[in-house]
Amino acid sequence: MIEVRGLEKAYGARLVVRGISFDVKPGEVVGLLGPNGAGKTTTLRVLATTLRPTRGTVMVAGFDVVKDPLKVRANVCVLPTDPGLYGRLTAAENLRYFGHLCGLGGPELERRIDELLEWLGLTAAKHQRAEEFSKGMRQKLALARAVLHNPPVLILDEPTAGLDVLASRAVINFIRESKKAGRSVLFSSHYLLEADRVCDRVAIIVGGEICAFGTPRDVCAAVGAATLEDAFAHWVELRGNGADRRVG
Amino acid sequence: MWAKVRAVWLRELLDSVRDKRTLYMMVLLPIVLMPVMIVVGPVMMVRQQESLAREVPVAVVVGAENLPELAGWIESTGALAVERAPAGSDVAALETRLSEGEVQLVVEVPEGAAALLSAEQPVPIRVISHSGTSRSSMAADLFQSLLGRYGEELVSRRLAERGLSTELLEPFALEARDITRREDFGGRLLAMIVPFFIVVWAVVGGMYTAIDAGAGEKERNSLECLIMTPVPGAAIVAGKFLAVCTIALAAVVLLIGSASVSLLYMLPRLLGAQGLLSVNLTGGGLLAMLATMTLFVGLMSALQLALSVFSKSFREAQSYVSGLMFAVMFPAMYLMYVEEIGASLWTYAVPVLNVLLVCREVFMGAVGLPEVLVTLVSLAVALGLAFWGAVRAFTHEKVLFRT
Repeated sequence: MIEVRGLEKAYGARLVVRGISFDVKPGEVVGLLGPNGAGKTTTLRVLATTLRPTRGTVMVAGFDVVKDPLKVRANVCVLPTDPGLYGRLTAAENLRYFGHLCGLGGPELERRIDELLEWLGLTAAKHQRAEEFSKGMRQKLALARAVLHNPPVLILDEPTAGLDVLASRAVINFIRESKKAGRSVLFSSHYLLEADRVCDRVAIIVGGEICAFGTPRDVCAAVGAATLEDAFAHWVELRGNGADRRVG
Repeated sequence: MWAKVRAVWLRELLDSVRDKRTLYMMVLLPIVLMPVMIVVGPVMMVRQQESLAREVPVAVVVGAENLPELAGWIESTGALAVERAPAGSDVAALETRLSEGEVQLVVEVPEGAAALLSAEQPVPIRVISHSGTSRSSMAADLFQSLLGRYGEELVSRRLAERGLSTELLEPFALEARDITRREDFGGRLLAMIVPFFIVVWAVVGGMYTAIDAGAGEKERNSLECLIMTPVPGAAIVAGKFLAVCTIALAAVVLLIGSASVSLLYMLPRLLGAQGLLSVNLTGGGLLAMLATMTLFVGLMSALQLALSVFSKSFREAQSYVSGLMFAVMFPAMYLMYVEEIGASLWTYAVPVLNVLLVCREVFMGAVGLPEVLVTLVSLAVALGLAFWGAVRAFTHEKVLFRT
């Protein structure tokens, strides 16, 4: 469902992502783990077609992100770090708007909105403006918006950052249910315990390069670490963040 | 595709209508500000003049006894109240009273004035006024006019004593006729005010919607979510553009309506001069103005959107848009005070100037087809370029993630 081969991304002369390759299969959850500035968000943005790759190929749901960006967007759900909701619009209006943009409409869309709000426990807030929501409620609404068109691929950028325990649990449950539904899930996170619990495979990215990619157990075994956190620390200390590396 | 453009358009409109800043700029200011600006100033001025006219100004005549007939004649007209002061009175003290507003005029009649008059010699009369106050300058004008009339009476008497006619002094009999129609007067007033506000409100009316649609979305991070939807960038820009246009056009129409009602109905009624002002607009003229205005609003909306999305923040966008507002305001202010019509054809190819000229000429009933066509083509080309710029800004990753 997601296939990344030799992806490079540069901002001017600064190389942020350095020839990374990985894949995410249907029904699989892959975690992209790395320190701040490692290139996680840039990678996810390339996959979401908001940034163009400098080199390499990226296929999402069978479509090339450069050649068919609209088809990629139609098949992917992206949840950025910030929910990016319209505060003056109610929960239902936010969802209806994105539904229309995804080509949905009529009673089918209304039914889907009700279904998602009920699933995320937001039915009572259906007609409440998003600006009045707590951070957890906003994140849930953003999730509902992202999966409104029932896409086969999910890309989540630090979906639990800054959330309380209950809201984090709701997001994790959502990822697990998506996996059960056969979706491919790629998410970035700082929370290694969480990644260990949820991910089938993890990729540790440092300085724009993938240092390790495999099941959490394999990644730990490769460096003789007891936990994923130890393996992560090993790679970060070994590689540094490589922020000063330049193209060419 | 149209359904997606419409979705963006309606969402932006809904968001704008719920934003107090937009409502203030779009509805409140045009509806409230225009009547206040047009009506309150002139009405207060007229009321002040009426109040001045009701209160008779006081003139101190120093040395009134030197020419008693003059003081008596002025008093008899009732236009000025005369306070007699003996010759040699302290003029400096009187000037203090004048500057304090206690009296409005000091007139000095020299000794021997009566003798000079009898000898048919000019009598030097000194008038001291305080032109910093309207009441004193009005009293000075009044005194000069009364003195002139009194002088004419004296000359008539002298001529009669010599058996001569007063017609000797008036070789010409002037007959003046003003061909200005009420429509011309009303049209000229609207031509002076309305084009200025049209160009300014084309920017101000949709300003907050444009800033919110670009920099605002960027700041809230909703823009990234929007461009991740399966909608082409051009369609997103088209929806946002239509929303900014709708808001700005509504503001401009409200403004024109408000200005017209204030100027043509409210002002004459308040001044008790109904029917004084009217305006004669032709269907073709109105159509030309509407088309010009719509294209100009579109041009400003596209420019504002491009500037807005280029900006890193709401505040930065406000600075850019304010700059745009000043850029259109200066030629508008200049043209407000230039009366000539019929500028060279090339000037109609310059956006902003052409809108001002066409709108003004429509109100003055002097608009020509070639000028309107050049204006429309010029605005359409500029609008196309500005829209293209906005689409480029929305789809360029360097601009989009310039935070």
